Amino acid sequence: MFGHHTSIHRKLSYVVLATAAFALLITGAAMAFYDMRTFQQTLVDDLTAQADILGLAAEPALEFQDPESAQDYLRLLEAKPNVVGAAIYAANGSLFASFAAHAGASFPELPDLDGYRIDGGEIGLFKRIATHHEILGTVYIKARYGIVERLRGYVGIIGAVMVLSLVTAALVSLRFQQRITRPILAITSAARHVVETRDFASRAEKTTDDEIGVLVDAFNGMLTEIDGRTRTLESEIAERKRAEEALREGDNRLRALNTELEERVTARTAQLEAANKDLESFSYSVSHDLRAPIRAIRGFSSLLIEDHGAALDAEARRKIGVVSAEATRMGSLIDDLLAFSRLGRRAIEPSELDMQQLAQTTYERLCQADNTRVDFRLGSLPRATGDRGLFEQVWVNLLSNAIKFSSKKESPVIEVGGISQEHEHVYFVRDNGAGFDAKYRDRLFGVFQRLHSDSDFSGTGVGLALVHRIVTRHGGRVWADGELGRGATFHFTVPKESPDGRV
Amino acid sequence: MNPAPPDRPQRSLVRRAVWLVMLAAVACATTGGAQTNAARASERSVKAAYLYKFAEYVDWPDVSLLPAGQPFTIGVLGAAALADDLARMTEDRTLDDRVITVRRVTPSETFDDLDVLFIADGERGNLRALLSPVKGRPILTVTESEGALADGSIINFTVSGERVRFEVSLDAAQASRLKLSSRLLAVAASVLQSQ
Repeated sequence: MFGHHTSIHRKLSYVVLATAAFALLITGAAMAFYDMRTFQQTLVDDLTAQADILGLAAEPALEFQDPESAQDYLRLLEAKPNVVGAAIYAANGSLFASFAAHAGASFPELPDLDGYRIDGGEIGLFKRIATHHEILGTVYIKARYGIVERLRGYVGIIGAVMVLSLVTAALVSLRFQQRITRPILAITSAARHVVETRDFASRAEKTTDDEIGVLVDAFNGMLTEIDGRTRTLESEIAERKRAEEALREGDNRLRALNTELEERVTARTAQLEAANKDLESFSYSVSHDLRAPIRAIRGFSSLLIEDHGAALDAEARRKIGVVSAEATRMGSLIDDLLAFSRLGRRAIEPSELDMQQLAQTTYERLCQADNTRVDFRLGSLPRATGDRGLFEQVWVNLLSNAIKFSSKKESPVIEVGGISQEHEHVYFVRDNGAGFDAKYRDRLFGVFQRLHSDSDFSGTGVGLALVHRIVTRHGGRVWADGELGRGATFHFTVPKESPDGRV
Repeated sequence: MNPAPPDRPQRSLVRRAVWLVMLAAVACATTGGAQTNAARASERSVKAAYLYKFAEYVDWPDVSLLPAGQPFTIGVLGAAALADDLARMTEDRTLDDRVITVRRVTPSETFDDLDVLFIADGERGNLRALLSPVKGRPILTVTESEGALADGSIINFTVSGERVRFEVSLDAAQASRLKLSSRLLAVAASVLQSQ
């Protein structure tokens, strides 16, 4: 019924006015209803009485057949403004005398039984005229049944009374309401003051001892309570703030320390990288520069054999052959070193690799170079993503190792297989060759680390280091299992997700 | 409408009108006699009814002194048919708990027991002689002769057109100590009063 923001003053006015209006409306309606009923009853009674009088007066006229005198009596009804017409019927039902207040009034052709009938805005009433022993005739009176006009008038009066009453009620309620609303408004303004200024020390003034007085007391009590709590809370908050500040200070110090540390790490890394690069360029240039004298040594030793072989004895020729072989070995060593150091500089170019085909072709190429007959068992290998050239080197190194170390067996067997796991592909190369002592397994993948003497198995000691470097650059792992004289198994993995390709 | 020859309709209208007039005349002539008989009978019965009804509007003196069971007596002089009608009408009627009796009387009687005396038009010549002994006695005298009020009658029937009316002499009524209701006087054709 009321908006949420309607003031209490207005709400009270609404209540008072609505109550008054409803009460008046109901009273008015009841009165109107009662009056309408009474009005009809009164009208009927009045008309009946008039009909009785008329009948009595008209008795002799009927008895002595004197319509004129009956007419005279009827004409008396002119004094009644609500009578439209009247008539007297003889005992045989014929119209004896009639009176019409206005021209054009009609009368029923035949008299009806005693009673009244309301038809439109008119009421017609029949009344028998009878002496104690005979019926003389019937009186008929037709009158205006002005109930609608009366009702309209009533509604008008009720409306006027309502307007007057409501105005009066509004004025009276205005006066009395202030007694109720003023203390409430005082509390409201006090509350607003508290909310706006946060001045919990202020108090509402108590002017009455009724419920509103109780409200004022409760309000003031609450203010006291809030005041106390606010103080406690404020001191707590201040304390917490202090603690937070201290924490923040510590945090800041920690962060500064962290930053410093990170800076230091970055600087160190840069230094390290620079040193590494220097080292690589150094080893590259050294290797490169070493090749020229080696080539010269090899060239001149072969020239020595060709040009002066006949002049030399067998011992000299053997020694020159040793010099040439060692120079060749030195050359290949330098090549490997160059390849290894180049690996650090080259970027990985990943592509889809058919590892099975790669292993197969690599093995076939190695067999052509070497003429060994090996039982080569190639399982199905999952495809992987990686640098084709680098993985070719991986297979070359692993397979050549396997061939090399199983070459002294009567029936060498090399097994290659692979399996796809959740995040990576795992490949292995197994041989039944010389194997290695498990306690040296960690040294297998270092540069120039050799577990066998060069007289047993030739090699530069760079191959597995290269494999290790390539696989780790692809984000994979390398490891080996083996036992002395019982063969070795080399595993490496390639992740399914392509790594960023950096060491 | 088809245009008719100009002469013929008018001639036929005239002829029809003549026929109608003749027919009406014959009808009047034939019904006139019958109506006279019927009217005479009706006039008689109306008068009979009035005779009896007059009593309701008239107060007789000393009614309370009458012995119990005394009938209300209406005397009829010289109108046998009317007396019969009246007797038939009042057969089982009473007036103030008094039985109504109708009696034909002769001029030689004293009319002592009568309450109402009706003198037919046949006695027109003797009216004065007949009424004078009744004068001053509480007997309602009713006549049907022109000028009868002058002869001392209290109520006299007149006939205007087909309506039976009556005239009243208040003087005569007063002389007889009869009180005539004003309601009766209201319907009278005329009321004779000397003062």
